[in-house]
Amino acid sequence: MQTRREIYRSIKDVPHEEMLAAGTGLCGGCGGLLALRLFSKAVGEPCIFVNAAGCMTLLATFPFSPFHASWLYTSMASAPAGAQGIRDALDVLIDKGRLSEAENLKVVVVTGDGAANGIGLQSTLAAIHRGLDFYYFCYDNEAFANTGFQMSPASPLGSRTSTSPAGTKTHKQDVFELWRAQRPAFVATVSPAYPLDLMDKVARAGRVKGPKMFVSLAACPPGWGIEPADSVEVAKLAVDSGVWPLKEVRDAKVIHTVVPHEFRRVEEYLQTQTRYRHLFEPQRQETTLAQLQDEVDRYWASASGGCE
Amino acid sequence: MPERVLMEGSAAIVEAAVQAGCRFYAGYPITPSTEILELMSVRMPQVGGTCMNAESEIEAIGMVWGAAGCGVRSMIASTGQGISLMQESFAELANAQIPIVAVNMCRGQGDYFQATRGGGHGDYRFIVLAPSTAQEAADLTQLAFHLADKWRNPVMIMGDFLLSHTSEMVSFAAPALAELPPKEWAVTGAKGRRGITLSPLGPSEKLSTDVAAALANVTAKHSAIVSEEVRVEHGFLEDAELVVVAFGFPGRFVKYAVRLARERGLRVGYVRPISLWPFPRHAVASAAATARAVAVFELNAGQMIEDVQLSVLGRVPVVAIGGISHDHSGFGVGPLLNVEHILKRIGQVYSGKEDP
Repeated sequence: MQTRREIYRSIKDVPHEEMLAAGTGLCGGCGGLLALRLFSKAVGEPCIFVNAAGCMTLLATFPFSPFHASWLYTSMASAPAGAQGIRDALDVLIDKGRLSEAENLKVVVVTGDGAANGIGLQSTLAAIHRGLDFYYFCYDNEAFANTGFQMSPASPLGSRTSTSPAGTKTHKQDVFELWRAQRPAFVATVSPAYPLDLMDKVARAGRVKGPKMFVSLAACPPGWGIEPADSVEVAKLAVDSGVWPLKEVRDAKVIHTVVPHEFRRVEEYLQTQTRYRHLFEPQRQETTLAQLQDEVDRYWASASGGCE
Repeated sequence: MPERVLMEGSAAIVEAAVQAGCRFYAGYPITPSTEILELMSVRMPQVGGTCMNAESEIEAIGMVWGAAGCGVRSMIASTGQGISLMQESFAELANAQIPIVAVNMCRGQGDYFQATRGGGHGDYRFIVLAPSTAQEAADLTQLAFHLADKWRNPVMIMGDFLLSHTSEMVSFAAPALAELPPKEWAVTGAKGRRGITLSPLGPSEKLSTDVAAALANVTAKHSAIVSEEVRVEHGFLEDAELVVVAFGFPGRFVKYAVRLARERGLRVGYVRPISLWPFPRHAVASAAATARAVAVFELNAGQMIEDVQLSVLGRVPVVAIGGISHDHSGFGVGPLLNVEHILKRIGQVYSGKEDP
């Protein structure tokens, strides 16, 4: 079941024009890159991308960038602050008549889950608090993937990372809810496995002024231990098992934009990835497996807003 | 003879830290220091210690600050970029006399100033040790924990991409180090006596409202460290007409180049500072006293050369023969780290073709 889309109703509505050129240095099957490609198409030109250290920093291979847009790199903690400076400077230029409204630029922050949930969270919440007019795109591969997949606050319970070799003991931080508490103009979760849902949300967000917050699950073949070719399938399974709910906030209510007709088992999703293999071999870790399924079940049982 | 094991410099540092009694580690992933965090996440639980994968370098150093303040031997590692974020904490905890060990696995050698001068506020100093081999990294890590506790002063181990990632044979002999007094300054929650304030302005030994005297008291030890803790290696200096100064992993390349120069009949010697602070000024000055010139090989735009100049004090010319040199990733070292190249530059300075 999916909510009615307004702008991207069919795949034919997706423009052929690319904002992000092919041939980047990122890993094959990077879910974050696919999500960013769709995201940037929906945002449209002209843009300034503001980046904090992470996998996507590798897009800007010195001295080039694959974007049909500008690219500004900031320190890891400060991408939303950099965006604030850019927005303010653009506004000054518009006020002085040195930049026309038609030439106005959209300001887009691109960060990974490490920066979004940790060192960059202060700057992000402050930008929402100030009502900064910008897009924020977080590709959530659930670890510090760029440095070799160390645990981040977004690493799910039980998942193996290179600094939690026996499985992460903490729960995934809910950055959607952290943002939502600040009432940004637009806030949504997305997935590259549901491109129309992703692009429709981004395009509708473009109608409002203020902070437009997106977090996309980003399957990471080397970190998750999946084949690059399976990246989209695994991302789809995350949604279809209820692990990664696709949602947005409308009138202060959480609306689920894609609700599976029949939920797949969480185990099915976990078994696609070697980062969860220790939960099945050599012995099944029943407690953790039950806990992971239970958390998803309880989430959906209490989910107030379904599809329209 | 202790067992010799093949391991990377990062692993050598981790094992040495464990053997030195380090039981708390906090870090944040950043190339080329990440392996230390990954290995610590395995080793600390095995020995009853704690490894924290922090949410940023600022939190990581805060955690180490807290653990060390309780008297636990604690370590942190990062690279220059991450060390930048820790500067406020470094300055504060140094003045609070909290002993920590910080590993700075730099990208190249561009962080010499950052390591030896620091980017924090006030009068503070880190003892800085620069190993050139995995074995020396292990030995200096053990020493670092000792020096940190002995002086109640932070100690930094400065390495680089090559030290971190080169596998070599390492053995771990228990070092002969003097007994240290118990850490009576550590925070204990007023156990059995008055409470302890561990802050830059609250020396536990004596309550005083004299801020200047408190800070002067902390920094008074700096001159003692300068006279007691200099460490340096040198060779071929007896009749050397040219002295080459280099530190860290590139110091090994220079040592080899100097040996080749000797085989070719050039009277060249080398000085390798092991402690970057305190800098081996006397060793450099006395080597320069009988030489025609001093050459400095470092992979940056010219940082340690200032310490060499301050040692030589204009008696002979000091020439830079290194430079900025990175591989395409920006993490590793580039084409200048090449024995033939170093030998050529030594030859140019030696023959006077290069005007100092």
